[in-house]
Amino acid sequence: MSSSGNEVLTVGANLPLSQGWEPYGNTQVRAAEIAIEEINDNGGLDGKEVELVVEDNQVDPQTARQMAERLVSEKNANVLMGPISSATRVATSSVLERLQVPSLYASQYEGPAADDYCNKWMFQLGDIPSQKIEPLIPWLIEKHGESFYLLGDDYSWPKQTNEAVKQAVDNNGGEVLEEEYVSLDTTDFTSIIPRIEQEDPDVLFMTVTGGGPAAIQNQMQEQGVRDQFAQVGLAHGQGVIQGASPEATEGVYSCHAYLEGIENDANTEFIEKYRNEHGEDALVNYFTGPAYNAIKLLEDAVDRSGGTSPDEIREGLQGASASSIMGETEIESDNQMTVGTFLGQVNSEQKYEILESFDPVSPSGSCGDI
Amino acid sequence: MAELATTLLLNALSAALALSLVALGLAIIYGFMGVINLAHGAFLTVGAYIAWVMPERLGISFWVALVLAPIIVGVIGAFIERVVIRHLYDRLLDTILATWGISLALVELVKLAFGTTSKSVSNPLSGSIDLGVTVYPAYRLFLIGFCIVILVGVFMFFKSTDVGVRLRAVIQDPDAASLQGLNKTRMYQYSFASGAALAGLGGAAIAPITTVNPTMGVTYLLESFFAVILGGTGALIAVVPGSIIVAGSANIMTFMISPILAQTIVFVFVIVAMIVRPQGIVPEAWHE
Repeated sequence: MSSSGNEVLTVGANLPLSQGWEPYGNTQVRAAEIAIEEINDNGGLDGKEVELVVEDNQVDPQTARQMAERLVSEKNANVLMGPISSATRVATSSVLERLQVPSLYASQYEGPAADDYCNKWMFQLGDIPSQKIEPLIPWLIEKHGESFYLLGDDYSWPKQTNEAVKQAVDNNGGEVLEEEYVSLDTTDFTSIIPRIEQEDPDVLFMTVTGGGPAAIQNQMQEQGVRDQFAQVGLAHGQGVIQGASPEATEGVYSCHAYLEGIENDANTEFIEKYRNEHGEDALVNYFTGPAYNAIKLLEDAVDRSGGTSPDEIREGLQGASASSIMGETEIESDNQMTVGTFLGQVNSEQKYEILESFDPVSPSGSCGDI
Repeated sequence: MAELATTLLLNALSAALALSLVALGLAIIYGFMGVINLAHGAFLTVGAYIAWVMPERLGISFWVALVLAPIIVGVIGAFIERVVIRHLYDRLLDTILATWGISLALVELVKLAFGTTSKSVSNPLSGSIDLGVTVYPAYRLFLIGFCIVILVGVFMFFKSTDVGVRLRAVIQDPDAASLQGLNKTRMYQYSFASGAALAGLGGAAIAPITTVNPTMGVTYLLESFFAVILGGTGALIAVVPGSIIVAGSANIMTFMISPILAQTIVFVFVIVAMIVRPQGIVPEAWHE
């Protein structure tokens, strides 16, 4: 059932709002709401008011699939948004073809290594390894040295990210001393830290998630090893690092397509609206910006194709561009966003200060016509 | 080498003793009441949040919070026993479901009250102490001593005090104890409250060396169960060797082999131990 011709354009958000993923799902809902409000204040899209309907996929692949179906068949969504975790994305991708509805996936993920890369209906609007790992590694080697210790959680995103890290370290004349994984939800790193210390790396490159980043920072601080190697944490996000003391996190690097500290007028205005609406302490992290930007790309897609049916939105998205809080973004090929990334470093107030920006990198184009 | 070995041993010891504290709470509730308490992890989480909220929001010292955490969680435990658990005695499956429901409700309440982001409890003893062989973080040394004192205290309580002896009488034969005039209901309530209090105390004690978030209890719930199953429910003190194997050996093997393999070996060991010695690994002579 197509909803074109209705007076509303429905965006169906299929996001994790429970199971410990609240800090990620909730901020995407808030960011999308602000972008939608701006669009509606300007008369909507193709004369239609945009509305957001939200479902909690509970970070569960089966539920994510059901929510996608419910949002389309019961809530008449013209376009979906989400999910976040890779496992739920792969599950959702598998039903989009049947539902004939595009989805806006606004998260960092593993890129071309993903099983569902080149899905005709899934639009990947977050950064991929070629956009941040490839520029970040040479920067780290130059600044801190060439030996790396990789520590991640034992699931697909850390492992596939580390594949890209190993490749980049190798290409730039560096060396990976050790690659190690811990089970999800590990918060006791006390015996792993001496192991890292023994290897004596220049850089500790972390893809631990959940409570792990805060716990390992606290425990490294406690053992007094933090000045022995640089620390990079790709999942050391806002709302997570606050679980460690400020001394334990100062100096940690992270690299993302969006960080709160990005300096442009659009971002300043966005942050002000976000704080006014949700309070001074409201969480902004690397999931916030991509969600806002995704709605801006949707706006351009409808402008380009001139219609709001799912198929017209899909056609409009291929080639859509937006200049928003993340800078210049475009969907050139592979249904994957071309975007630049920012290297941030945690300051003494546990906020990321931007040290460097890396130029946008186009996806490989390996999907051809999809 | 001696320096590294000492550090690793102390790491393993602090992890094993902290787990013993939490697992002892679980063993008391199961051993005395036959209730499998899936809310144990949530009790630990509440204890950790008390250790966070008091210093950070209310200006009360961490040390006061460490004393108040078990009392507050114990009162919560007594209340839950009164309104829920009491109606489900001798219904094993129902208590599992009910305590799991209580766990979900407590965690959601924590989220409503304090949000879902991680919290940090600043380390009240942030320095390190020179032990000669190695320099070791002061708070972890405190934690080792503190856990030993509490464990010895609890075991002495059950061995030597009047209330302890009555409690054990109720476990051994609830009906005979009732005929002797012992109040079974009251004893059960004490057991549940004190088990909960130990989880709350454990949560508060580990808060400064980990991170505080709503889901932190899950890992401890699981490890506590392993420690109790491994040790066996015949004697309370069995949780100590159980915890040494679950947390202590995993800690050392993590350093020597790798984290995932270490955990797998412990899981396999627990499964084999359950098959070979379902009564627990400690000798029968330890049983009460």
